[in-house]
Amino acid sequence: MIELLPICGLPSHSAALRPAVRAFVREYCERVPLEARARSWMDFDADFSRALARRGWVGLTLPKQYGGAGLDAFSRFVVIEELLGSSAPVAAHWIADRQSGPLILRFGTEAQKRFFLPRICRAEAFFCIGMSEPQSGSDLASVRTRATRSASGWRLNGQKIWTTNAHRSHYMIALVRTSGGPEDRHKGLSQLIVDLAAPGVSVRQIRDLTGDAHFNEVFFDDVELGEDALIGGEGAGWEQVTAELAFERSGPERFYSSIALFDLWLAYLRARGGADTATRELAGRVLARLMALRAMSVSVTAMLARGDSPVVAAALVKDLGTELEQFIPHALAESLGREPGQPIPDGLAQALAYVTQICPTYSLRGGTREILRGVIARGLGLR
Amino acid sequence: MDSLLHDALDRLLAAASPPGTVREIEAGGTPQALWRQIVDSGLADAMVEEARGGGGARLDDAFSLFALCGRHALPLPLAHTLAVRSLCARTGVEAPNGPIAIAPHPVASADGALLCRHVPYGRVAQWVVVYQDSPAAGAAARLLPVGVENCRDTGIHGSLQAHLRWSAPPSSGVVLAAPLPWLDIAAAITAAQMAGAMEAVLALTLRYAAERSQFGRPIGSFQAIQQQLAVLAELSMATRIAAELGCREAAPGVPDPLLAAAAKATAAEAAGTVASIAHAVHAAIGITEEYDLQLFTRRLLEWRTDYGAAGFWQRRLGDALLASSASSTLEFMLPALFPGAAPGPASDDSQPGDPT
Ligand SMILES: Cc1cc2nc3c(=O)[nH]c(=O)nc-3n(C[C@H](O)[C@H](O)[C@H](O)COP(=O)(O)OP(=O)(O)OC[C@H]3O[C@@H](n4cnc5c(N)ncnc54)[C@H](O)[C@@H]3O)c2cc1C
Repeated sequence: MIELLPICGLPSHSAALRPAVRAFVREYCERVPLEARARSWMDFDADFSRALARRGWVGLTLPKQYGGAGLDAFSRFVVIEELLGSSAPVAAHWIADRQSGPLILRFGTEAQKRFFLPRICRAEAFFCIGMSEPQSGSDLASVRTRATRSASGWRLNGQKIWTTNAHRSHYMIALVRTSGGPEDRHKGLSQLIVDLAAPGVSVRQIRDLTGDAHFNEVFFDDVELGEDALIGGEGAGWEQVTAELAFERSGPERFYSSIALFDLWLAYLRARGGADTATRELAGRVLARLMALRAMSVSVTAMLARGDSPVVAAALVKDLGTELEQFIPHALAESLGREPGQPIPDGLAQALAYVTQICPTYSLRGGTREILRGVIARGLGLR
Repeated sequence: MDSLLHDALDRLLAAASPPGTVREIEAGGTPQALWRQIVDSGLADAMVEEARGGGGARLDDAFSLFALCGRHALPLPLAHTLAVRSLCARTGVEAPNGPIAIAPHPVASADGALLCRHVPYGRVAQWVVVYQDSPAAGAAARLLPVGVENCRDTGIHGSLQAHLRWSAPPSSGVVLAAPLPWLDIAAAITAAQMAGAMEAVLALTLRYAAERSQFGRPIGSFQAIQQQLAVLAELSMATRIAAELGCREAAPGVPDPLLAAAAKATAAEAAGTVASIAHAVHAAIGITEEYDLQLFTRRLLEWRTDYGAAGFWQRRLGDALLASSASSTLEFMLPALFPGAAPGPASDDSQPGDPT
């Protein structure tokens, strides 16, 4: 059976960070209206990330000797919750801050740590996740991209797909095969840090249904990488990726993605002055679900802070959280459409259309709903 | 006869409005060439009486034509135009040339200006039916010409909606004096288009589930996917039958109001789940601009709220039900929603589609 998630408060040292972060974000929000923030953490703004880094809020959990703030997971929770709660544009540094930095800290060599971590903390090195391939989505262990030994290190051939922000990142941490074949499944996989500026790497943007182009195809054609491209153990890629996914799945970005839309809707209702019973119930329904989710997420953060890898609990929070994120646009569309004579302001209508179209991705990125539910079922002892 | 029209329109749209053309027009390309092909085929008058030179399709027959417009994601208001042209002909008004949209909800007018927000197909229509709100749902309507000067973009990616605005109530246009329930008409058309779009979504999703393999098996062999596909099929079937009933004629060219309400309520309630399942099964590929699924799911999600979301139409049905003194739901439902099935003098047991 899975463990219960105990209620955890945020320790006072982390809560003390909140006012400063909130003031910083408010300044940004005064310049950028809420309707322009509906993209939430998909929004990429390198200047914003660097400004955050100057305040010491990127790579917060990394040790001071590598340029980090040496703070714990609770402190990071507070910082990112404030950022996400206002839908600040965090995409540029997001992956490095959330998972690549911690991965390098845990598995990297001293030289790798010294090279990458300070750059991550200064928001000078942006990372992307090279897991999925055209034929390997949910079945990640079947990746075909292959690195072979060369005189000077590794030679990389193959292709990744759906790589968010590869076109504006500096590095990719790629899951590749370094020995054996697809039939060997979890054995023979390794993670490599790929410099995306290396010769032989080409990136093609993929446009999505909202007209944005955030994800990419990335091709490797005899890319020569040094010895030091390998991160962690050769052949340990699967275990490392599994640990990485726990970071990827439990955070508050898994329930705040639609919050800008929700806030826009509330502002519209308040401006109209009053709402009918069903509308008020809907507002409360979202808030109640948010409360439970946030408490669960803090609880999982406590496990991460203890050094555990709460794979099942993280999957549970992500599945439930993305459901709320997807519930919001559909329920708001229904609610607004009950009064067809009532004009909807452009900003709200645009945010609603955008979030309604993009929200299926919330339960795809970071592992699909079906896969997560399989993980949870396994945690329940069912398989 | 109606299946001839259906087949002709299916062939025409497959040839003249493939996904590439849909994308071009959504991106701002002109729909003129496509419209010309439709006009040349004679199908724009499919619902005009044969005596007046049209195809003679009744609203019941036209259901399958409306559904085809959804099935092909046609970027023009052909379904609306069919209905409006036939209603014009019946009331002795000469319909203007060009695609005709129907304003989604009664017009809000401030400082003398006439404003219709989020008009479906507003971007590609040359005319729009504008009607004043009135409890009788029957005040005169007007067909107004839509020029670039009236048309403002909604800022919604790929949408064919537009905000339409006339700085003063235009004196031009065609007066449609006969009182008609425009909202019901538009709701019945939209539900039928949604049924067609769901058919396309189901077909694409079933095909993909059979083609795509993970873990060495087609994803359609996983129970978690099968269960979702079953729900997708259920909802699209229910929408289709409800939408077909929604096009039952109460008067020439005009749907039965309660049937139209039930049709739009059913389609609108199903749309979110249908789109969500289709995207879940497709996963990342379905989110891309390049893959056709989005042409249909974006429409479904927009059409869901056009002319009133589920709750609006559910309320109409609920009001009618609560106001009735019938001693059982069945006693209310049969005459109200299955005219012909109820016992009594008005019974006509040969009504097509009657489940009894
Ligand atoms: C917006 C977005 C951003 C992304 N960013 C990145 C990124 O930066 N880096 C990266 O590597 N990847 C990224 N991805 C890819 C994402 O991880 C994959 O989409 C996801 O893992 C699913 O893979 P797939 O799309 O190939 O779907 P498939 O694996 O082909 O799945 C298709 C369907 O089958 C179901 N399915 C598959 N196997 C099973 C099973 N055993 N049991 C039941 N159902 C099953 C799935 O749940 C899904 O419903 C991103 C995706 C999106 C949408």
